[in-house]
Formats: sequence, C-alpha cells, structure tokens
Amino acid sequence: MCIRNKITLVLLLLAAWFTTATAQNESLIISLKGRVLDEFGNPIYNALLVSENEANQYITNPDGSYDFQIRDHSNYVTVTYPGFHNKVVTIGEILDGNEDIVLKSDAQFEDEQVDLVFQKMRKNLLTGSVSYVKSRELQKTPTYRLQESYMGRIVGLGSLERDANPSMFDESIWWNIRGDHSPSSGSTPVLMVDGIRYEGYDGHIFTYFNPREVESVTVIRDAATNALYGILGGDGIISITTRRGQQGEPRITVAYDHGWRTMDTKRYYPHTAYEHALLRNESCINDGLSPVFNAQALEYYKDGTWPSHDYYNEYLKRYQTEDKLYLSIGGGSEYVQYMCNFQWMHTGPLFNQPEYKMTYKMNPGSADYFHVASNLDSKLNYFISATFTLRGDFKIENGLGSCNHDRMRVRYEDMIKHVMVAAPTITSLYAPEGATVEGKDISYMPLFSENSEMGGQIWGLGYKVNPYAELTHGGKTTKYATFVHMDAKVNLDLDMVTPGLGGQLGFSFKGGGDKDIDWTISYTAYRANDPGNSGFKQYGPEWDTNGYSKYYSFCYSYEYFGKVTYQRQFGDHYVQAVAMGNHRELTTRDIGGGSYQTIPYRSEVFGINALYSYKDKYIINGTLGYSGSDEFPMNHRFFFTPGVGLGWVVTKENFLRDNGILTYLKLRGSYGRAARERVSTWRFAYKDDVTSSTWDQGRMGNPTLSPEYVKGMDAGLDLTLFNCLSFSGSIFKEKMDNAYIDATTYVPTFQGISLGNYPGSNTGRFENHGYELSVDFRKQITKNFTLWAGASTWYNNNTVIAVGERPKNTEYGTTDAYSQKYYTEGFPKGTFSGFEIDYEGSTTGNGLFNSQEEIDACGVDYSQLGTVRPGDFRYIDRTGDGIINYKDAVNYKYSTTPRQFFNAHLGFQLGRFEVSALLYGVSKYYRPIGDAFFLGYLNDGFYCDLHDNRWTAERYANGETITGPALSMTTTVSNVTNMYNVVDGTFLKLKNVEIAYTLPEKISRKVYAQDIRIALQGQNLHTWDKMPTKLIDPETGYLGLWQPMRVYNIALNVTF
Amino acid sequence: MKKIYNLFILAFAALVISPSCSQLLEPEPYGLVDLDLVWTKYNYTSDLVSTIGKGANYESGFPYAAYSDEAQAVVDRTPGGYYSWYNVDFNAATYIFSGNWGGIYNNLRTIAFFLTNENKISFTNVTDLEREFWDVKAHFYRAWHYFTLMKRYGKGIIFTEVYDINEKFSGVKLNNVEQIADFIIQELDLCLAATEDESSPYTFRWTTPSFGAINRGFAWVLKARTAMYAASPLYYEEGSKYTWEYAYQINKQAVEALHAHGYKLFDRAPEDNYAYGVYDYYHLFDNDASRSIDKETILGNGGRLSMWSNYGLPTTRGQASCGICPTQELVDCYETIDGEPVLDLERPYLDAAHLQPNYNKNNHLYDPQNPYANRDPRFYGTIYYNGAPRYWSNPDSLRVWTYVGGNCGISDEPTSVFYTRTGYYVRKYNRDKSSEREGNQDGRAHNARLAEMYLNLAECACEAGHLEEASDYTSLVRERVGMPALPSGLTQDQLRLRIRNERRVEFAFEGTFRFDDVRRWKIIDQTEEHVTGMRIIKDDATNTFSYNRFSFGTRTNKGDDKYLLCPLPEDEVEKMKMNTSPTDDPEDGDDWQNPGW
Repeated sequence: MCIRNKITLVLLLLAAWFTTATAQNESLIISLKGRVLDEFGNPIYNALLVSENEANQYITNPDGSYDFQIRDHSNYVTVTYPGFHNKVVTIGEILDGNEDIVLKSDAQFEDEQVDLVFQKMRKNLLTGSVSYVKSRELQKTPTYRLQESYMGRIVGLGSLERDANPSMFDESIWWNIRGDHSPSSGSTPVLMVDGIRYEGYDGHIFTYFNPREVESVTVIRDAATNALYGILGGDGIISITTRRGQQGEPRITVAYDHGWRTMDTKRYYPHTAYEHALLRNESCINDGLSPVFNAQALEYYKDGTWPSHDYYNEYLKRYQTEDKLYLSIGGGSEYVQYMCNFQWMHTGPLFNQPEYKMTYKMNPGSADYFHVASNLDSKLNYFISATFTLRGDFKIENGLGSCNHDRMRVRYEDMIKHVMVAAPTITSLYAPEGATVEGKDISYMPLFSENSEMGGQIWGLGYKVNPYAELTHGGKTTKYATFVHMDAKVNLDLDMVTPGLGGQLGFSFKGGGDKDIDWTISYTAYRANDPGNSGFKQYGPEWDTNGYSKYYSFCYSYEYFGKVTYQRQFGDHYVQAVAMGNHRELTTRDIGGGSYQTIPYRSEVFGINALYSYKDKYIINGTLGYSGSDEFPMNHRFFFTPGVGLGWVVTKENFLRDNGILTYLKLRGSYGRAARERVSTWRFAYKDDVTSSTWDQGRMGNPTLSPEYVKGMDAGLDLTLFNCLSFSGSIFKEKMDNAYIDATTYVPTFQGISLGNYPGSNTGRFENHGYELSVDFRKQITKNFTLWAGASTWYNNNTVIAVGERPKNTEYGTTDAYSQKYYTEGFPKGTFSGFEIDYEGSTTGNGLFNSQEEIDACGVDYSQLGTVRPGDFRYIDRTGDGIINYKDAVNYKYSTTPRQFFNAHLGFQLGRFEVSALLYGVSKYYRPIGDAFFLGYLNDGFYCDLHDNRWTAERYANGETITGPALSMTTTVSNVTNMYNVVDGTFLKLKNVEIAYTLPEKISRKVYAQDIRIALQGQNLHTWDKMPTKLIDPETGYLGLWQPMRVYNIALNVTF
Repeated sequence: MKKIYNLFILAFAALVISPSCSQLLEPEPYGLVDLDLVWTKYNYTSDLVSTIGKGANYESGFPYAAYSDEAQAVVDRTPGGYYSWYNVDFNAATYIFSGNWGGIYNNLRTIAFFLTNENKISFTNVTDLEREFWDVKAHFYRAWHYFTLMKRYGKGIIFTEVYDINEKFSGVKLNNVEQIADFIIQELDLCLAATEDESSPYTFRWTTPSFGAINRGFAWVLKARTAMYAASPLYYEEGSKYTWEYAYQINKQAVEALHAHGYKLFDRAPEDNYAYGVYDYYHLFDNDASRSIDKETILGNGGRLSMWSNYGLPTTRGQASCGICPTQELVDCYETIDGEPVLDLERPYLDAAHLQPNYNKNNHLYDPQNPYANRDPRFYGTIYYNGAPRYWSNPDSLRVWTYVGGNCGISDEPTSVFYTRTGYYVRKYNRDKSSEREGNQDGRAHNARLAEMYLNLAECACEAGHLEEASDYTSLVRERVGMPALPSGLTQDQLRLRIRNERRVEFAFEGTFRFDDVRRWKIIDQTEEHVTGMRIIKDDATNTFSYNRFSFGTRTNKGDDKYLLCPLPEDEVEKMKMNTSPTDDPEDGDDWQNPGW
C-alpha cells in the first residue's frame, strides 16, 4: 500500500510541474552534410549520428549520406554502426571539409551498446557473461513465433522444441541458461521485454512480434550481473528490447512472407497392408496366439483385392501455408519520435478435409493473428520526455471439436497419433456410398470397430480414434485471444543537477483474455458386422446432438518502476550507475478452480549498480540487489543479492596498444549471488492452510521458507586477433546451500502431519559448473566481399549434493538390495534410471534371449516384470538376488536436459548477395522414446523402421543383424525403461539457411523505395542424429508428438 | 525550481527505501487461516476439540472375524484384502492392518497441539467445567491411540509437544510396551481425576449415555485392557511392572468401580420371540441411552449393523452377500448344554488340518451325526446352521438348509458371494424380522461391555494364581445364559483353557477380540493356518444327513511369529534408520521394524 501512495505522490508532483514548465529556447542551428563510409569506401547505410548533447540524431541513407542539423549547442557528433568502432567527430572538423566520415571495423564490437534490462552498457565495459543477437539475425528465421528466431543463435542459451504442437506458442520451447540451478522445480530463465517482465500467459504477446520490431535479444548468464535483478536472476535472464522511432524522415517498411511448413523431415512411411498384416501375425505368433490374418486375407492384401491405405498422408496435409504481412512506419523529429508496427499473419489448415457430406468447414490449424504495436517518444521540455508504448494482439484460431481450453493441445496430439496408428490394413474409415442400416442411409458415416480386428479385414478404428470422424463429425472449436500491453514512462534529464544524471518513472499494464467457443456434435456410430461384407449395424446408442460450450480466462499484471541513472566521463575516468526499483503484481490466467492461483503474485526488485573504469582499461563493477516476493514470510521476504565484477582490457595497456596481431584482450571475472523465487509449487508455502470449519491441519507452512540463493563465480576472457578473429570464453561455478527440497524424503509420518501436507525446507545443496566458448571470424576481404564464420559450444554439469535422499542397502545378494546407494544425490538433476541389457551374457551379443532353453538356463526370476519370451531382453541382475525388479535399474549417464550445446554460423556477402547458414546441436542428452511404439502393439499394430531389426526365430537362425526385441501384441518384459528405448539424443541441425538479394538502387528507386530485399529462407533443413528411427526428431524425442517443422519461406522486404 | 528537484528526489528516495514499511507485500488473508486463530473464538476451539477423536478407530466393526479363525470370508478366492491375507500376498508396505500408523499420529499431533497451546485461549465464554472436559477428551483419546499402537505394533513414539517443522528427528527413540502402558494409565488417571459433576453436560461422567460418548466406565475398561495386554505373553518383557498380578489388581479395581456405579450383566429374557435367549437379545437390544435396562454396555458403537444384507442369508430378499462364514472350529467351541466341551481343549484336533476332531471323552451329549443339538444357548443365537429355524416366532415356517443343494446350500463357486463357504452363516446381531420390507432391525456392535471385564479379570486372576476368583467370574458370564458354572477343582492349565474357550464363545464376531487374543497368547501357530467347514450331504431317500469336515487349505505361513505384530510402514523404518544413523551408512541407524519384516 505505502509504495503505491508514494508513487501517486510523485506522479502528482510531476503533473503539477508539467503545467508550469517553460518552453525551451530556440537555439543556433548548424547544418552538416556528408557521407559515412567504411575502410573500403563503401557507403554505410543506417549508421547513427548522435550529437554530443544527444538531442539530435540522424540515420544515414542507402548511399551513406547524411544531412544533419545540430540545434543543441553540441561540439561533436558520435557516429556508430554495429561492427565498427564509434567515431567522435568535432563539428569543426566536418565544417572544415572532412564531411566523409570513415569508420574503422571492430571485430570485437567493443563499442556496441549492450542491453542490461535497466541500463545499456558498452560491451567493452562488461565484466560478466552476456551474449546477444541483433534484429538482423532474427529476421533470417522464417517463423510465426518470435522465440524460434533466436533458438540456437545466442551463445549460452540452450533450447529445444519439445513439442511442435500447433496450438502451443509460448510453452513448447524449453529454454535454459547454464543448465539447472537448483534441485527444485524449473530452471526457466526470466523473460524481460523492454524492462518489463513477461511471464506465462504474457508470453502470448511477444510471440507475435515480428523480428523486425526487435532491436536485440540479450542473455545474461552470470550470477554477479543477475544479482541486480534479485529474485528474477537465479535462472538467468533473457531480455528483449524493441525498436523505437528515431529522428529523421518517416521510414516505411513493408514485408511480406510466404512460407510452407511441413513435418516431412520425419514423415511417416507406413508399410503396405500386406507387410503390416505379416508383422501383425508375427506378433501374435510370438505371443503364442493364433494369427489375426488368415491365409485368404493375406492373399487379398497381397493381390490388392483389399486396399492398402496410408492414412497419415491421406489426412495430414503435406504443407501448411503461412502468410505474413508486416508494415511499419517510424521516424520523428527532435521532439517526437514514433514507430508503428502492424502485422497480419495467417496459417492454413493442417489436415486434408474429406469432402464427403461435409456440412461445415472447420479447417483445424488455420488461424489469423493481428498484431499492432506503436510507441511514441516525446520531449516535453528541456528536461522531461515521455515515452508511451501500446501493443495489442488478437487471434482467431480454429481447432478440432471438444477442444475446450487447454485441450486444444491434447486434441492436436490425439490427431497426430490417430493418423499414425491407423493401420494400413483398415479397409475404410467410413461406410461406403449407399450403405444402409435398417433402411437408413449411412453413406460416409464413420465406422468404428470394437475389437478392431475381424477375421483379417478391419473396418474402422477403435472408438473415438478415427481421424475421418474427427474431421467430419467432430465439431469445431474457435479460440479468440486478445492481449494488450501499455506502458508509459517519464524520463528526466537532470543534467542541471549534475551532468549525466537522469531519472525515469513508469507504469505498465498488460492484460488479456481467452475465449473458446466449442461446438461439439455427437453422432451415431456404426460398425461392419461381417468381414468383407457391406452389412453394417449400429454401434452404441443413437446420438444426434449438438452441444455448445465456452470457456473464458483472463490475466493481467502491472508494474510500477523507477530508476535513476548516472553516466559521465571525467577525463580518463568513467562512471556509470543505476539505481532502480520495481513493484509488480501479476494475476495469472484462471485455470479453473485453483483458488490461490488467482491471487496476484507480488514482488519488488530494487538494485544499485555502479561501474567505474579508468581509461577503458580497468573496470570495477559493483551491484547490490534488494528484492522481495510475497512467496516468502515476512522475516525472509526481502534479501540482498550482492555482486562484484572486475575487468582488465590488456590491449589498452601501452605495451600492447595498437599492435596488429592481438587487437583486443580483456580478462574479466565476477562473483555474486542471485536468487530464485518460485521454489515451491505451493502458493504461500510459508503459511498454514487451515480449514476453519473443521480445523483440519491441512497443508502446513514452513515459516522459515526463503528464496534459493545461487552463488556464482564467473571468469572469462575476450580476445581478437588481427581485428578479424575473435575468441570469447567463460567458465562458471555455482553453488547453492539452501535449495528447497521436498522434506518428505526424510520426514517420518509419526510427527503427525500427513506427508502430502508437509512443507519443503531450504536444506538441499546443489552445484553447477560449466563453460562457454566461442570463436568468430569476420572480415571484409574486398570492397564487395565480406566473410564471416563462427562456432561456439557451451556446457553445463550439475550435481545434486543433498536432497535428504535415503541411502539404499547395497549389500548385493540380499533380497532388499538396490543397485545403487543413491539415485538422486551425487547425480545431475533429472537423472533417471533403467535396466541394463546384458549384451555380454547373451549368445550372439544381441542382448536377447534367443531360445526358450536360454530362458530356462538363465536362473533369474523375471516374474515381477512379466513372462519372458524368446526375443525378449536379457537384463543384468545388478543386485545379484536372482530377481529382476526395479531395484536392478541403474542411473543413466545423461538426462533429458542436454549438457553440451553447439552452434556454428557461416556466411558471406558478395555484392548484393548475402548467404548465411546456422547449425545448432546438443549432446550429452538422453531421450526415452516411448514404450508402446517400439514393440508395435499399439492399437491395430504400429510398425516402422524401429522394427526392421527385430528378433525373430528365423532371422536369428539366418544370422541376420538383430538389435531389437521380438514384436508382441501386448506389453512385455522388454517394455521397461532400458538402454534400448532410452536413446542418445545428440543431434546437429542445419537450423537455418538464408539466401538474400538486395535489388540495385536504380530499380528500387523506380518504386520510390530505398531498399528492396528478397530472401529465400529455410528452417530445420536437415538433422544429423542418432535416433533409431527416422520418425522421431531428437528435440521432442517422442513419437506421439508433433515433430519440429521444416519451413521454407520467401521473404520480401521493402523500405521506403 | 531547486525546491521541485528536491521534492522529486525525496519522493524517489521514498520509493527506493519503501521496503521499510512493515507489512510490505503481505498478502490479504484470502481465506488462508492461521492455526493461531483457533484460540480466539469459542466456536473455533470447540470445532478443533470436536476433531479430536474423530479418527479414533475402535475396531468394533464386523469383518475382523474373517482375518482370524472365527470365519472364512466368502470372497476368499478373488483378489482383495481377504485373498491377500489368506495367501500372504503382502509385505511391510502393503500389510493389511498397518494403514493407520500415520492416521493415529495425525490425531496425536492434533491432541498435542491442543494441549500445549490451549493456554492461548483468549475468549471467556466457556465454563471451567467445559475446559476441563476438553482436556479430558484430549487425554482420553491420546490413551486410546497409544493403546492401539501398543496392541498393533508393540511399540510407539510418545510425544507431548508437536515437532517443529524443521525437526530432523535424529534423537527420536521408540518407546516400549511398558512405557506406553505407563503413559496410557497416566493419561487415563488424569481423566478419572477430573471433576465429577453429574449435572453438567460437559464433565467426564459415569452416567453418560452408553452409546457413542466416552465416559468414566470406558476409561476403566481401557485401563484394565492396557494392563492385561501388557501382561500377556506377546507384550510382557522380563522386568516389566505389568505382571499378571499387577494386571489382576487393576482389573479388579476396574470391576469394582463399575459395580459401584451400577453396571451389571444384561439379564432380560426376550419377549415375543424377539430372540432365542438373553445373550442374543442383548446383542439385538436397541440403544438404551438411559441405561435403564441395559446396564452391561459401557460403550456402544451406535450404528446399526446391516447383517440381513451384508452378512445375510440367500433366502432373504435384498441380501448383498453372506459376507463371512463361521468356521467349524468356532462351532466346535460351543459346549453342550451340560457344560462339557465338545472337543478336548488341550488338543482339539488330531491332525494339523483340523479334519479329525479329538472329542472330549467326558462329553456324552454330543452326537457327531446330530451335531447341532443340545448346545450352549449362545450357539443358537450366534450361528445359522443346517436346519436352524429362520424365525423364532414360527420355527417350522422356514429353516436354513446349508446342505449341498439346500435353500442356503454350501457353495464353492469362487465368485459367488451369496452362499456360505463353510456351511454356516452369522446370526449374531441379526434380527429375524430385518428385511427389505420391514427395514433394518439388526443390532449394534459394542465397544466395551461388562462381560468383557469379567473375563479379563478372570484371565488375569487365573494367570496370577487366584483360581477360585477366576472360576467365579467366568461362571458369572456362563450363568447369565443358563450354562452351568465351571466345575470346581480345575488346575490352572485346565482353567486357562476354559477361560480362553469362554472368551471365544462369548465374544464371537465382536471387534478384534479373537484376532488380538491369539496374538496376545502367541498361539497363532495352532489357529491361523487351517480353518475348516462342514459340507453336509443330504440323502433324499432316507432324509438323513452326512457330515463331512473339509479344509480350506493352508492359510500360508500364518503361524509364523512375524504375524504377531504389524510391520511398521517400510518407508517409515527406512527414514528413521537414516535419521538416527550416526554415520552415512543407514545400517547404523536404529532398526524400528518388528521382527521378521
């Protein structure tokens, strides 16, 4: 309450002040004209000229020219362009005839301003580990989700597209900075957009940003830099800044993209019906059952009397189209700058819709998105300026029926499974033209089968998994989503107090809502009652109803914030400081019922950061964060997060200055403490949750709950050789002594609180370490040829030191012995365990039992897993008790969180052509690929390349290569998590390729454009991996999901 | 202008230092209630007190019989609790009676929380008597819970203050039977020392209605039981103060106290063919809250049993199941009307499978070809046997025929739940008029009654060597149903067998008496492995029956001593091994598990 009052007071004061503020005096105008050029004399387009007093700016034209008017009594102009050293030119020099300003290239980008959420800092001054990517790179990725555009592009930011489900926009990509930081839940970095936190549902809005609206995406990795953000910083921060208008003529950009998205990188290839039937029969025989398909049926499938289907390709569209139109206009005067963006995006349907008797068109997957964003910066008087941002999004999305709310994702997931498991032997999914039941016409009605197999030939599918039925009789859902963001900031130029001092106060509001309208229809189902016969009968009750339901949700959040900045150069001494404060309330989406979820989350972050540098050579940076959250009790609610950083730019020392070999070398190190906020899955986990009607003790709170502290050390160096080859490396080590852990691992029940209600405690310990390395080469070789290439890798390795795990008895040979003393402690977070296959013990080294005699002779009891058949895995009885059970499972080396990441980029610009490519990969990463698939027993049988090397008695006798277990009609002892179905997820992807051509100026001039650029882009073009099947992408690692899409795109970009 | 800057800077500074505001970010209550609120209002505290004891399980429910040798469950061959029990398909984690370790302690914590914090009560609209009653209630249920722990696990952890949420439990020690028994008796003495004011609704009274609410009589029962259990072979440790003599003293005091307050055996004969005799009439007798007629019940459980349906006869419309089927072993326990046991109590069966009865040579009334004639009257009130009259008002109108093919004929169809497995059905508590049409008129279970106190006293007296007194008290129970007194001059061993047999007959299908007794006496090796039934074949030509004992096979391993006590939950043991381990090796920690698990 009190903070709100204070802010109101401040705002009132300011309002009163505005009305009395006097207008600025007119002043002398100096007009400057000339060009900005590179070392080869090429004009630099879009270089920024800023006057000393920062009131006047100019952006150069395509021919590098400027026509700059200085009105603010400045004495010099600073010229900046990324990749070049800043150049300071005195006005006198220009007026003396040196109007062509030549910039010197800088492979280290040391003068580039790096976004640190609450301040910007020259890259040379950074003492922590920060990496970033600029708008230009983001534009290369053809996507309708902004997030995808920086996947794999930023050193230190790991990502995986865990699910490419078309309904998931913000949740499907897994992000990670330096691995896991705690044994407790999540390690997802906090996302800040223009200094305002975006979280959960907020994510929808930035998803639809066009990459052209974005200035940069920055990743802050080290604890000392993150210390400023207190509770926000524990898992690292991703900060996005958007572009704002700049002084100059209005600049209009029109961009149009047309893309094709396809899953065919892993496109399912089914067997023919005949092959499928043989495999199905083989499964039956393996299980000692009689074959499903008799000789006659096999004959019919073989000679084509009965059709063979490929339902996957029949119902799933090969390409989904994507169109995107983007318009923006930006510009402004010294007093007002503006930028308006508009985007319309449309995606086409995902499925081929059967035309028969369709009474409505539902187009699942097709959607329209509208995005409007505008911002305005205005100078109100000589020391006050105000900035406003307004963004709005609107989405209409078509989905399958019965998709209420979060089920949209589930229904799409069902559909991809349904088209995949619909066996090729299924004769028809619907009744043929003219079919009748008791005189009633049922042509094209969906067919279902109870026991999907009927004497060999199959009609229909199990109930409710018939894709035809879903697409023609399943109803439809329309989802409407809206989102609004607005913020207003008042900036104060306090130079009159002391030069270099500034302040800002602001307020932001974000809010949005969802509405789903779900039309569900029910229909009567039919089934064939005789194989190969057109006799049909009703299946289940008679249905003919139309249902309608709707769902709403909403969320909003607002923030107050303020900061004081100070920045000044005193000769060789440079000082930069920021003090900031931020109060935030977030009301999350109401996910039906969850009572405390709808209580606003409230948090505050305060911090001071001060940097001093001497001659740009010695840098010291100190941070003190002070933050608090209502997730913690009063006595632990606010806490300090200090950090300190040191830097030494060795090449600025006299003995190395201006040598041509080692052009840049900086050593840096930092140590700090960051904190994690959402440590418990319980809201208000420090409070008892007692029901006053019965005084049930309910959930108990831990009154000493505190945030988790990540104490991190970071050391690194940045160097450049020959001003073209740069290298950057960091190592880090993190430690946590107060990790939040589930106390019930050691708390006994006799203390009286039921364990489900027992709170966790801050008693866990955790460690994490790793490194990031990158090499970049960038050189303008000739006037028309620039070449760049780079590669990086980053690695993290954590260890759960203590979570109160009970040590297990490892006295092998006794009945209660376990294979390991610990399964969590001493291992990385997320480690899982499975059975070891006994390759050495098996006769031909294939890890399988090859005959019943071998099973009888092995002397180990498998009964707790099931009945062993020849062709099942032979497991190692690790505990030596003669019984194979869960206690024999051992931990895997790697978990589903990758430890090593790579990326590499390569490109060149040759005249008007520009070509670039991005590779991204991960390793030290395991995926359990799912059990039901690899044994092939799902539904009516599911067989793919996983089963090519399966065990059969015949293949064994012929000495063929056997790697997999025998097929089965049901779950077997081979189904448990083991080394066969947990696979190495290592992959390398050709993530992105762009070939672009910029039209000659004389052509663009004809349409009054400054710049016309045409690009061909491709995303996820090829994957090299170790997956045992081509159907699964290692990013998802699971068959029943939507695999990451390959995208082809044509992009046209015109700037006027 | 300068002033304005100053104001601005001041305001900004205020924003930055605002965390000093005391309740910053403190959430509104939002319905989350703090436990401390409980002491601020009468209604809150009394609600809390009413939850005390809510989870107390008196184990007076019916189905325990089929876990002992009293009965065989009809669902003995389909997966489920009984099937697992008979086939030992369980381990320490899934043991059938260990589900309540946590539940008991959950209540104990509430009690400790109440007793240690009640001094915070800030409201005044409560009388001293009521406050005292709240204490009594807390102490009483604490005693009850520890009694259950002692009985089931033979150990427990006594705590009187709640553990801190950050407790590490490294110094926790298990308490043995003697310590627990001491604690129980101490708690009960606190209860009994409470003000006795018969006029107040809140005091711990003698005259509390006998059904449903705790009373002084029951405190005495619990005290007497505690002493007797602690003295029994299973629980007694060398050096314990709970000798048989000590148990005898306490039981004697208890019986005297009960006598002094008007308790006596129920002795009203049934009117209008309501029941066969006084014994089954007592079990059908309705809730006598004022104790004007029923002066025997010390604490009743309240609810009516639905015998007619859940443990009913196939001839009754609306029968859901026959539930549990009395065993031949139980039937064999009923003496003939002259007071002679049917079998030799010393060695009732000649073979391990209980198929060859060792008849008592002194019994001249028992006829194996007409086995149900001339038996203890309690037999007729407890069991439906082949030829038993269905209705007392008109015995010949319908008879229960359990012979193969009879109207209630024995069945060995594994999925059938309507027909008996053993050849018998349970009659106790079943009023013959109970039916779908007439409604449920069945009896109610008792948690404690005076006859138990007599037999407890008799057992303690016998074991302590007061043979005459033991015989007298046993005979009191026999005389009530018209059985002759025990013969004089029995040796201690003979008397012990007679008293044990008497308990079995008197308490058939009551609570967990039999289940507990065979464990207390450590005789499960004789009782738990085999039960038998009686398959009766009718010869239609001669209209005669032939009687064939048959076995249900071995109830696997039940004779093993590990089944004397319940295992502690496996997790609990492992956690405490780790918490109490002085080294990294959990094997160094205290092993809390009971033997054999």
